[in-house]
Amino acid sequence: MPFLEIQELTKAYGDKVVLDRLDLSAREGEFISLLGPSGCGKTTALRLMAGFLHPDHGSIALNGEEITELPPHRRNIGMVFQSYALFPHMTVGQNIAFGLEQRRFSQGEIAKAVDGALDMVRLEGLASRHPAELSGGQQQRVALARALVFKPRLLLLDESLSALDKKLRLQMQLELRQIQKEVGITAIFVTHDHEEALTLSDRVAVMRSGKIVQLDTPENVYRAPADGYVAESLGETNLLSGVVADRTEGGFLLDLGDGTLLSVRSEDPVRVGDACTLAVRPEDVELRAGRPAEALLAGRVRSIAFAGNTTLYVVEAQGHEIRVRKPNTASSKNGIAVEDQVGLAWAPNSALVLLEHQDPTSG
Amino acid sequence: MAAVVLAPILVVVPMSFTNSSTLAFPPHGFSFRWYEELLTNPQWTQRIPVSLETALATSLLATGLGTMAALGVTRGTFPGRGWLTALFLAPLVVPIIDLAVGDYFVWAVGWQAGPLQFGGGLAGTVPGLVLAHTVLAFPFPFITVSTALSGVDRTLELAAAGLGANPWRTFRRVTMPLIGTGMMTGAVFAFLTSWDEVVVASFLASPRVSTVPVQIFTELRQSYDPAAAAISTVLLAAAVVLVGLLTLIPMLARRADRGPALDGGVMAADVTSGGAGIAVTAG
Repeated sequence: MPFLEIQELTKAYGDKVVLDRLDLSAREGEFISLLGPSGCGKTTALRLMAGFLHPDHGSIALNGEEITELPPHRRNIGMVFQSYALFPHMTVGQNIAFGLEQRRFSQGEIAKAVDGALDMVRLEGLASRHPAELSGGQQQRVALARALVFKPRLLLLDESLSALDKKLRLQMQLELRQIQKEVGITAIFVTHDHEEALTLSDRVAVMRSGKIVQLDTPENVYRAPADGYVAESLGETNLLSGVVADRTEGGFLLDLGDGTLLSVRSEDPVRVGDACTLAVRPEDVELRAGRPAEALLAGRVRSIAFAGNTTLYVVEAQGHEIRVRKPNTASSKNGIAVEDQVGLAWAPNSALVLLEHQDPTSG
Repeated sequence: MAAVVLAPILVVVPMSFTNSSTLAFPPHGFSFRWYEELLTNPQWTQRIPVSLETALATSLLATGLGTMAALGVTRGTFPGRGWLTALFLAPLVVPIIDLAVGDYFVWAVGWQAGPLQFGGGLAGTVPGLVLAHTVLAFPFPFITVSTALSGVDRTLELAAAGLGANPWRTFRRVTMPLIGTGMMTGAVFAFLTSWDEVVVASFLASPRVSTVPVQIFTELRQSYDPAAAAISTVLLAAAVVLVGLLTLIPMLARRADRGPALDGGVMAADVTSGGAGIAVTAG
């Protein structure tokens, strides 16, 4: 039996259904991210788990115990808010001790646990400071220590890293994951940042319009997205839509609508006339100067953006805008400039075939 | 302009030090005899405790009720909150004489419908004065606490609940400390509302139990007793001190926010200078 089991969780505000019969289950110690744009229902789902909202329908069970009707203060769930929500009138130590005091621990036990928690988040010696005297990263650590110190059954994180600058965020991601593993706590992490979700999670739940579209390991949601929406949610991707023009040996020819025929390797049982979308990650596209014979598409470089460890080329190919991202190594200078003629190609297995009935852009 | 505002306020101060037996301006001579009169004449010595008790109890009751009302209106989600807010502010705009007559008929006379009785029998008692004054004073803590609450981040309360605090503990440990300044400010205004109130109190006072302002009013109508000027000066001093404290509260709160570890010494110095200020004004 799963440790956390959510069934048919539904929440609407007036006519607007924010969460639509959401099912989710997590194993003990698992780290699951809810990924999606704002308004997809991920924060509502988190607030329902914390008990700040009451669902219209559905149930939440933790370790076999139904908690749907419990008020938040009796759920024993730790939460880290986006704004941290540290109590400004209390010291760091008092903030961390708060949850323990509510559970009537003795002064001695509290002092020991607070010290241990400060140790865990590497803030030794800051117990007597006030939150306003700490940096963003330190406040983040206090919030995490406060949420974990009373040994909750579940840890909820609401966009908890998004207020930090990028460098600190990457560092905190690693720390957060390490602490979560050490403690062995089950964690649900809400984020709109796909890199964060992929880096941190055991499994990623991609959400759209109050539902989970795909729930799988980071590798699988990235490499085998269920549809174009998921593919785009997990990072830059090129989507090429067209109609199956003819079947070939081990695949088919895709007509991109302007007479351009693209040879696609696929085992899907397609018929001529089927609508189909091809998803190709920018890093999977090969870029060659001139018009090499093996090119699938020919085009002209419209812009080149240097971004440190990678360079982004935007290529216009027969009316389609294709983004190509290449790593920058010391020896990777390819001499391609803006307005150059280039040929584009990709390995057959790196292009994902998304049949129209699965494609969310149509509905 | 300043003279127009200050003249009627300050004119009583020199008059209270007169040596003559009737009020006059300019005062004749200089003496503390009317201040001695305040401390010896039972007509005044009985009024001062009644006024103090009434004002303190009114302040506590109005602040308690005002805080609850403010919480209900700002944190509640029920319909009709706008109307309720208007109702809570009504004592500010309803003519004082209406409230006085109303208070009289509720607290002194009372309502009776069959076996049910509400109010009544409270004429000439401190509880009667307190209830009537609470109606008048209630809007002040309601306003100050509402304002303070709108500045408190709701997620702090959610965080407290998530950490295991029930609603009462959440209020006690998180919300109340953050709206403390608003509550104190409201309490001071509520105290002052009761402390210098004449109209409502004169309806509910009896010859035995009455407040200082009512007594002053009566004295001045019957005779030009300079003791009335002396007690007015004392009332004025009390008001000045309380308003002075009000300006001190946010300053202290701000220092407390920044943490005692950093500037505990400065804070202590502030309190002593504040104390000295009170001593000077009162003397």
